[in-house]
Amino acid sequence: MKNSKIRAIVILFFSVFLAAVAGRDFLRMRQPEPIYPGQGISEKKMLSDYFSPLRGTNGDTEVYFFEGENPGATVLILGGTHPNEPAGFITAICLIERAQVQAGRLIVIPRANNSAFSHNDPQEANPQRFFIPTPHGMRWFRFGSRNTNPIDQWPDPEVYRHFPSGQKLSGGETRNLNRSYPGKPDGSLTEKVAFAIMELLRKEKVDLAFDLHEASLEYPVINAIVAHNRRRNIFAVSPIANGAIN
Amino acid sequence: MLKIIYLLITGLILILSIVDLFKEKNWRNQLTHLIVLIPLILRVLLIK
Repeated sequence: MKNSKIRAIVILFFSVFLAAVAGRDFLRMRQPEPIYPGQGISEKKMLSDYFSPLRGTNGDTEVYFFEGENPGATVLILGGTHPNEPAGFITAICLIERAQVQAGRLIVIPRANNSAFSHNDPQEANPQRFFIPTPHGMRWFRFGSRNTNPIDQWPDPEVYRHFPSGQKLSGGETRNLNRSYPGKPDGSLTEKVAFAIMELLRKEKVDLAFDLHEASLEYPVINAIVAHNRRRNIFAVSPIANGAIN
Repeated sequence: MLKIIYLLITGLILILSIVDLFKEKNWRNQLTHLIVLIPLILRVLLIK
């Protein structure tokens, strides 16, 4: 009797110890990787500047502005809508660190779904971080999840009904930013992030927006280009489309 | 609101699991509580 109680205490302490060891690794995912803004940056804002309820949440994220000397169009680049597709995220970071805008405005959001960077998907064997050697040393980046962290938005419904189309999707898609546009000001965290990005598009009078993605690791897609029917002519001449076709 | 209800349920299950751990006599069954307690602790603390 007494032995079983002592064992229970030991097991309880051991559980807390193992939870602390595992928790340390999970918490490490919340540490953002460093971004070194280049000289072309004219201003840095937060997404919550366009929709204040996001302030203080894990959905708030950085927005970088580049202002050209000459007038021109305003372009928005979104990286990190799906943090398990790092090409889009890395492209956005390359622009933040290297871009020099001569005409018009460039707006870059490197971590569109900031919450989804703070965890990764179980049973996928994805690393928490990946590393890229540079002339200035090794850089690290998080390999996040396709969806918002369930710590920030839970529980998922059995069926997710997209607003405003009413399209029925699987419950987990309720945390997918790319299934949440145009978002809702009183919706889930993911819908609020989508709404804030739409507010940015409206307030900054964005002419053209690119949402950068990549095939997931085991998903054999080389190129997939999605553009609105009404803007196919603009997209056809864009460098991204030409690069993808060539 | 749903999140609070969910957390309360998780906390209750954690407490019941700990009570069960102390009631259990068989050491093998006590040890199996480990795999239940660890994820519950992480979820109650909003870590994972």
